[in-house]
Amino acid sequence: MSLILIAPLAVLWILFFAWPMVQLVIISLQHTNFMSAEFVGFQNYINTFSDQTFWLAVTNSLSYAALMIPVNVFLSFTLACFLSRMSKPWRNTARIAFYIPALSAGIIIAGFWKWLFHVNGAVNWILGTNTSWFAQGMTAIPIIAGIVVISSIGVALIMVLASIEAVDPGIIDSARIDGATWKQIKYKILMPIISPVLIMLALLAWINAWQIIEVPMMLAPQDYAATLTYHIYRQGFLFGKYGMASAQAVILLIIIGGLAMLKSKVKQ
Amino acid sequence: MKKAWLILMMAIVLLPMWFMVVYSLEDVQGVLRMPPRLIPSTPTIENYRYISNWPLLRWVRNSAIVLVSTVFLSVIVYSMAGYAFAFKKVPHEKLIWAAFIAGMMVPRMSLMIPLYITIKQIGLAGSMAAVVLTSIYQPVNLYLTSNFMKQIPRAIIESATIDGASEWTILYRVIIPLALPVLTLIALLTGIFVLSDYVWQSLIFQFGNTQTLVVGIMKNVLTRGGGELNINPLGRQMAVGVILLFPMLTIFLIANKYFITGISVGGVKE
Repeated sequence: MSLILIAPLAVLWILFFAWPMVQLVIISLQHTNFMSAEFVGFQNYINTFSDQTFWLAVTNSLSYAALMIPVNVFLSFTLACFLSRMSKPWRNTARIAFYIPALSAGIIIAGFWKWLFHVNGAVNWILGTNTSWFAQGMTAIPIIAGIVVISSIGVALIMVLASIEAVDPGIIDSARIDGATWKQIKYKILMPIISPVLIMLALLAWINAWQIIEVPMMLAPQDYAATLTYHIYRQGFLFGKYGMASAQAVILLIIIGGLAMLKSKVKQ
Repeated sequence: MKKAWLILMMAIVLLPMWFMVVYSLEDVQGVLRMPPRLIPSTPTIENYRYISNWPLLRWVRNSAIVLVSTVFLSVIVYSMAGYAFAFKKVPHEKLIWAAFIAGMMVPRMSLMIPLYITIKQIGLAGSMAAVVLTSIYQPVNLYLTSNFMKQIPRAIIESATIDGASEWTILYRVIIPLALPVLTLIALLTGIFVLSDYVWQSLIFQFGNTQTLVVGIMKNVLTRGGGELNINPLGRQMAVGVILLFPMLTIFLIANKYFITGISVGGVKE
């Protein structure tokens, strides 16, 4: 019976996850254009390691991760602590309000950001400059990271707030009776208790950083702002180098999986 | 004081959407006229008129078909699988669970090339069925559903079994009604996902005439298509954003009650 219950999901999993995973590895060992395929062994991997744009994409993704992980964790924790001391209607309103940017993530809101950071746009007007914000990685990457954080803060906030609400209020009360300040309660009591959620958030931000694709695609479709995922997309679907792109996708999976593995090791 | 801070922060995250609406109503001179304004200086619906020349109704219909099928199938698939993992003995449960959840660590986009080949192999390239079928497998949905269902008291199911209810009756009459918050949540998440998943859908629909709303609109606004010169790309992109945001915001505001309980109960465990 239980097999019948999981059968539909299993079929979809095989067709659209497991089988593509196998194919990914096979294609990564080929020179192919979908019409004909030639087995080339590890040539795509060797070429990848001498490909400068690949390393640039890796560095960029690491920059995104370095910017997004701390900001995302710190912001959602601070905000959730702040909200945890407000009344329920306020908390619920805030949860909805902070989640709404997630609905307009990526391409939908891209027009606004284009406008905001336009050469003749609002930011340059306020600063009195005429910078092309998306014309170099130094400015494009932090801005894109910020845009992604804004759109993902809602989910993070809901998760952290829910775990704070689940903390036994007795613990906080007794700490307060012992004379602990709110700051001490926040960092010495709440933070350690909910640290599993914060670690999970960090991990999600890590995965997310590698697969930012729509925002750079819309705002800075160039190598200097590309994440590895976007680089793979360009290699594959723009330049038709399916073998190379697949080899890089395999490397991406190893990078992401590596840290996830590390996390579960640490947990044990 | 604290409330003022909160209102300020909410305003900051919501302001982009407001500006998008305001500047979608500006003509080409108005868009970049500084200082920034909270209401349009010279309101015009020119940007929307330009968009209305596209076959919007057909795209909306396609998106609606994709949306309803994906959400409907997802709810069925995950209530079945969630029920199995929460209450049934699944052979090699740990292994199968790990295999299903493994997808969480795999960025979907890294599988685009083989996924596209798979779609071609089974002859679905360019079809709406391709979008529906490839959008259902979302590991997080299994995680949320199964976690939520584990909180349903086993006694309820046992007493239903004693009363002679079949497995399907239990699923349909007991599990699904009790798991409604989490099922609404995954319906919502799936709906939002499938309405805004531009990159993958633009690959599926790269040839041929079928388009979903998000693909049709974005392709036209980005390639300056639609048969008319795009003289106000910024204003038009914002108008397009407003059109795409509208259905999602509507769905979200209708279902947000379930959204919060579902994500709070299903997501925090462990």
